[in-house]
Formats: sequence, structure tokens, C-alpha cells
Amino acid sequence: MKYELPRENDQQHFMSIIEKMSGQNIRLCYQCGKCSAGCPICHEMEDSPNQIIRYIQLGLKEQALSKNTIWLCASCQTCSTRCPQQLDLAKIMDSLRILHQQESLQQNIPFSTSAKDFGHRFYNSLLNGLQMDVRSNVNAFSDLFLKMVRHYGRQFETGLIYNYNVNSGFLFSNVLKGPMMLMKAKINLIPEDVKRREKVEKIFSKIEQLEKSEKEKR
Amino acid sequence: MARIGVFVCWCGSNIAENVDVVEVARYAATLPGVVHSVDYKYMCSDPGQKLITDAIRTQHLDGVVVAACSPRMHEVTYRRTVATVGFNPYLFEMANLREHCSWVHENKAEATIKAKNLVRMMVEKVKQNQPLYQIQIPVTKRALVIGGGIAGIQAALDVAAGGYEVILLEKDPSIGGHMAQLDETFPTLDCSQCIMTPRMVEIVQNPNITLYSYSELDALEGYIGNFTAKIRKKARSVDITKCTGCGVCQQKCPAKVPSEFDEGLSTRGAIYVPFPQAVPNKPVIDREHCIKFTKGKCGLCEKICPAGAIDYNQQDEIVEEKVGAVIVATGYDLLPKDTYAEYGYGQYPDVITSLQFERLVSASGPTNGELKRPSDGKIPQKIVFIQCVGSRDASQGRSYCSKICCMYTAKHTMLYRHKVPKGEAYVFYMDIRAGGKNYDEFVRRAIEEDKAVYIRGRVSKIYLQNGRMVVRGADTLIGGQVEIKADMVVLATAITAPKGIDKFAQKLGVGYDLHHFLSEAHPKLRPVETNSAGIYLAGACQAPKDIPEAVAQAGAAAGKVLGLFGGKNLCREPIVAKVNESTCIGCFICQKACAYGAIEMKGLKDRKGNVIKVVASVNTGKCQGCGACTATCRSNSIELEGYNDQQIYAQINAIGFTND
Repeated sequence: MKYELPRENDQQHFMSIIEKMSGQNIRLCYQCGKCSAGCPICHEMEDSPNQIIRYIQLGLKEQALSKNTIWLCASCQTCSTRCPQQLDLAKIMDSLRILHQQESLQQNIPFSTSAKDFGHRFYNSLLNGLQMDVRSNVNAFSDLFLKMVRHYGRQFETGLIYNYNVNSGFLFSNVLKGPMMLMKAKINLIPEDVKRREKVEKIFSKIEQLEKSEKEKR
Repeated sequence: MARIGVFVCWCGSNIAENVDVVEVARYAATLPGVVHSVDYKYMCSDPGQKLITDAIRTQHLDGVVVAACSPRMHEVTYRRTVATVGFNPYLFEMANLREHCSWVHENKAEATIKAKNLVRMMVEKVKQNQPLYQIQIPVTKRALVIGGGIAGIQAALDVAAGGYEVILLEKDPSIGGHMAQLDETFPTLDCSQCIMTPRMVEIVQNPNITLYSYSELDALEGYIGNFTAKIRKKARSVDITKCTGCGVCQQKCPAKVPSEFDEGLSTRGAIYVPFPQAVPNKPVIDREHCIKFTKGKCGLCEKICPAGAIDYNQQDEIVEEKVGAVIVATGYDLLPKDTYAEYGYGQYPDVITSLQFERLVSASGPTNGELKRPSDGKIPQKIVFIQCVGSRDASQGRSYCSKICCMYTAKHTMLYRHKVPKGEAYVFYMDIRAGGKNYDEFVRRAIEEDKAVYIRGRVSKIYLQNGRMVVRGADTLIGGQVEIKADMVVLATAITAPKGIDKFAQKLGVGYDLHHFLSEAHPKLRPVETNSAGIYLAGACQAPKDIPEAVAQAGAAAGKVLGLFGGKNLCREPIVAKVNESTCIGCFICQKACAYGAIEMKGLKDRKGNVIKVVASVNTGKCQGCGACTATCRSNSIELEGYNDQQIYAQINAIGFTND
């Protein structure tokens, strides 16, 4: 592996973007690795959390944004709690995800949960030996999560699971857990009724409006 | 009319490059009162100094201004120069043309004008100068050393070797400190006890040293050369003149108390000698745990003592000692047990501190040197050592490096492998700090010869799996997590300042830093002195230190004390505050402003001896010449010698006056 380090100005630039977004001083990190040591998902990550911070310190934006690490991070905050330098890593991971989303939107690589994309992803997942495309799946999940809330006024878990499995291409993942969860009333077959659903819709359209005007400003 | 000589220095090119020194000298000659003005390339050199002394003789000068560098640099040099020809050194002043002028300005023409102003101000000031004379303070030539660890012992022995009396104060029943607890020491693996205990015996044998063990300092009054220490000899409940040290009492004592010396790995009685090699080897009764004192029953030790030395009614005794200098060697503590829940410190019995590990491998320890783990006495086959526990950790409020842990952890891996040749030693580290003679070689030896596995990363947590501890950490060099099933975990816990040391430092008037380590007067040039004259530092009370450093610093502190005691009297600069007793109204606001406690009350008496007025009086031994009192005095009755109002006003007035 060989990285060409960006010029100092570019390094500073990337670091300061993340610092501004997360409110954290990235320079505080002295690479002790306690974040990675405590991370419950570290074993699934392409790069460990401390390596992601290192990329930011060196201004290696591509590396920081392209790894599955930032999408696997569950924001459990074990790292933030144990960091001896009191860095809030979960916040930094959040910022990286936001930055990634913003940039893909700018480059017009919108993410959608449409049927056309589903076919593509299903095909891809077969092609890659049933390896999940983490990034789009995380996106799909977030997207569907909000869609459910918008549509039903609150979360409808069964609908979310169904839609997610269809979208991710893993049709039967976790299906066997369904009956047990139904029996324990953890999930429901019929969505719960929520009063004044239109108010939730109002919130969502307001956010959409804001996002649109923000985009036009840019 | 004044006869003043001005001497302008080039300082090579340091001043001359940015200031027209020839022009400054020419200008100075035109100032009223100046009869002699020259410039020279290096005024501090021998020929430069000769220019000054010759001019004093031939021109009969009554004031000298040297326009050169900062007084910090060469004021002492020139004072000595003028004094060689019998000229009062306080009729000499320096104008700082280097730090205040040439070094900080780029425009030569403007810098030259400023240089002229600086010279003119000093010429006006020196006209107001009065001859001053060094203050002689008598010195009590006895030293007080506080703390009987290796630093305190070394300092006491060194001062005593100089032929002066030393009082050594130790709060615990025995001297020896932490070093007496250690097994072998890095980087030579020589036995700590073998090099420590002879020193402890020397303390008792040395006729110049008085040892107060189980004693604390209640108060320290006075000033450099003339301190009065109030020492509280805590009640031992044992008459040590009668006690023969037979040890029957501590064997029979029914109370069981965790032993401080063994770091809680064994128990002691309530009447106890901390360890067999203790000095003095006489027991004390720990009244907090003694059944006689807590419940009023028992009294067994009194019944069985063949010498009749037990005295339950003994009281604390206050002793006053006059000393001239104090060496503080109060040492360190370790991180409290309740920190680091994720490491299970205090929760899992086999998670121990490094000092506990020392006791476990020590021949004088609770297992007689056999390495058995605390929970079940089994020999651990796999030990994980974790460095930087509590140090370099801003979230715990300790950002400093504990300094000695890298070395002793390497040592521990060696000791472990020597005791358990098939054992596995893992070390989690962030950085290896092995700066010292033969130190890095030592760490390499632990890795290369004694096969310790070093893992670069921190540990996140220790948890139990099927009754076995699992250490989960990161290896940042491979970029992932590692898990090790361990039989024992040793935490290299941070050195911390002893609890309550801040109150103690306030008692002495010594500064301390954010982490409560005592502050030296200057980090480079005055490393063993404190800001309170006559009080010196030795050992880990100042910052984390290993044994060689503590010993070196103790020797240095002793050297300072010997230097102080070497002269007949203590000579002090006469730059001190002086009270005008006729105008002082005795409000004592100055007393509050004084950071050094130098303002005292003085009663003015009439002929019959009645006190008619109480005024402020300056203790010239304590006064540091800061001038805080002069600025706060409401009746303008205190002046700083050498910097009185006339002198300062003359300087200020000279700024507005030019004769160009």
C-alpha cells in the first residue's frame, strides 16, 4: 500500500471540514487504538476506527470516505466513552457519513429504493457471493426507516423488515426470527394507528423544503 | 554635579547591526552629568571591563550606565566589575539595548532613537541612586529533610556528609519509602533491598542525622536560614527506649489489617513493624484498627511484652526544631483503585498494580518470591501488562507521562520469565519511552531475549469468559482487535502526587502544578529550588522520576543546602522593601499584598517602653523585592530600595525630555 499525501493545505482543509462538522479537534488523537479495541463491530470493518481518524489527520479524504467502517459504525459510543483524549468518535463517524451523502447528492448519484435499483442490487449481491453492499444497504435502511415513519406516522417494523429485505436483495434474512417476535409482540402485522398523521407529514415536507432551498443556495 | 560614565556595547553585531552604537555613545556624552562615554565591541570581555574600571579611576565617576544586554544576562558581571575598584555596585545601572531594542526592531534609525531614550532614562535614574550594601543574614546550619524514601535518605546522607546536622522526617513507622517495596531495579536488575537497606541503616548510624519516624510537619515558620519547624511525633503507643524489637507483640496481635507495605496482598497486626528490615525496627500501634483502642478490650500486647514497652496512654508530642534549609522529598502515590472500571481494577482479584506485582515477585513479599496469583495461588502462565493506566489520559485528568512505567514493565516481563520460563508475557503500550543510560537496550532485551510480546495499542476492556479473564485490545500496527486470555493482568498505574500534598505545599509556601506536583523555581536552571528561598525539592514530589533521577536530584538539593551553609552568613541583594515608620499608618494592606509573608508588625515604643504605634516592618530575609507592597501602600510609606519613587519618576520624566 502506498499513499501520496495531499499538500498541507488540502490536508488542513479536509480535517477542518470534519472538525467543523463534528466539533472535535482531530489533532487530539494520539493513535492509542482504544476506540478500535472496544468497538463491537471492529471485526467486520475494512479499517479500524483509529485508522479512519488517521486518514483524516493526513487529509486522505478518499480513504476515509470509501471504507465500510463509517457505515458499519452503530454509534454505540463505546469509543467516545473510553477515548482517553475525550474525542467523540461517534460524532466524527456521523460527520463522515453526512459528508459522503452530501457529496454523492452533489455528484447526482442519488440513492433510491426503486424497483429498478432492486434488480441491480439483487444481481450484484449474487455476483459478489452474497456479500452485502453495506453502504447502499445502510442507506436503504435509513431511507426506508424514514419512509415508514412518514407514511404511518410512527415506525411500522414489519413493513420496514419486508421492504428492507426486498431492497437489500437478501429476501429471507432474519425471516426465521419473525414468528418469535410476533409471538412476543415485538412486531405487528398491522400498522398501529396514529392520531393526526398529517402533522408528521407536515414535518417531513418542511424538512424537504429546507433541504431544497439549501441545495439551491449551494 | 553628577559624574556619570556611559559604556555602549555592540554585543558583536547583536546590537550594532540594528542600532548605531557610535551615535548612541556620542549622544550620551552630551547628556547633562555625563563626563565619559565610549562604545566597545564586547563590553563584557576583559578589555571591555577594563574600560569601565579605568574610567571609574581616572574620571572619578559617581555613576555608571552600561548600555548592553538584559540585566538578567550580565548585571551581576558588571556589578562585580565595578566593585573590584571599590565602587558601590548599586550606583551602576544597565540599559537594555539588545532584548528591548536591537533584537525586536528592524528600522535602524528608529531603533537608534529608542536606544538613546533608554540610555537617557538610565542616566537620569542613576543620578538618583544611593549606595546600597548587601544584607547579611545569619544561618542556622541544620537541614530538615521531609520524607524518608530514597530521595530523602540520599539528601540527608549528603548534607550530613558535608558536616552539618540533618533532621529526617518520615510520616510512616519506617523509612524506606517505595524503593524498599521493589524487587529488582532496572536497568541492571540489582536487588532493591540490597542497595536500599544499607542506606537506611546508615541514617541511624550517622551521628549528624536525627530521625523522626512516624512524625509529621505541623508548621514551618521563618525564612531562609532561620526556619522553625513544628514536628508532630505521632503517638507510637510503644516506648521505643524500652522496646527491644523482639517482635512477639506483632505475632500475637489478633487484629488483621491489610499491609500497606505489601500493597494489601497480606495482612499485618494492629501493632506492627511494616517490614522485617524496617528502620527503626520498632513497632507502632495503629490506633484506627487496634481492638484496645476501638473496643477497649484486648490489651494482649501489653500483657506479653517482655520489656513492658507498650504504653496505650502515649500522646502526640510536638517538637520544635530550628533549621536553616528544608528539602522536600515527599514522593508519590499510585492511582486510586476505583478508577478504570473497564479494567476491573479492584473487581477482579487477578488484576493487580505494578507495585503489587513487585511485592509478588519479591523475596520479602507475601509469597516469599514465588509468583502466585492472588485469587487461587496458581502460577500464572500468561500475564498481560497494560501500560499508561491513568497516565497520558486527559479524560482522567492526567495528561502527563508517568515516565517510569515503560522501564519497570519491561523489567516485570523479565522477572516473570525468569521465574516462569514457559510463561507468556504480553505488553500493551502506546509508545516506549526508554530515554536513559542503557534503558532502550534493556527494553530490547525484554523483547529479544526474554521474549516479551509487545503490542502497540490500548486495552479497551477486560471481561470474564468461562471464569477466565479476556483482555481485549487493539493492535494499531495490524489495524485490528486482539484478544488475549490471561491468567493475570498487571496495570502500570500512574504515579500521582500524594493526597493532601496541596495543603502541605501551602503550609510550606511552595507552589504546585495542575497535577499537584511541587514546582521548581526554573525548569532548567533552578530545578531543585522552589520559589520559597531555602526550600528545595528532591525526588518524585516534583514530577515522576526513577531511582537514578531521584538520587541525582537529592544530591543536587543537598549541594544547594551545603552551598547555603558554607558561607559565614547568607548574603542577600539589598533590593528589598523599606518602611518609612514615621508615615506608616499601620493599615497592613501591604501584609495582604505580600506573597512571601515578609511584612511583620513592629511596635514603636516611647522612652518608657510603652508601645505608641504599630507599624509595618520588612523581614529582609523573606522579602524578594517584588514591589507589591509599595504599589498597595496608601500612605506611600514603603519603598523598594533601588527602585524608589524618585528613581522611577526620573526615568519616566526622561522619556519626554530630549536635547537633540
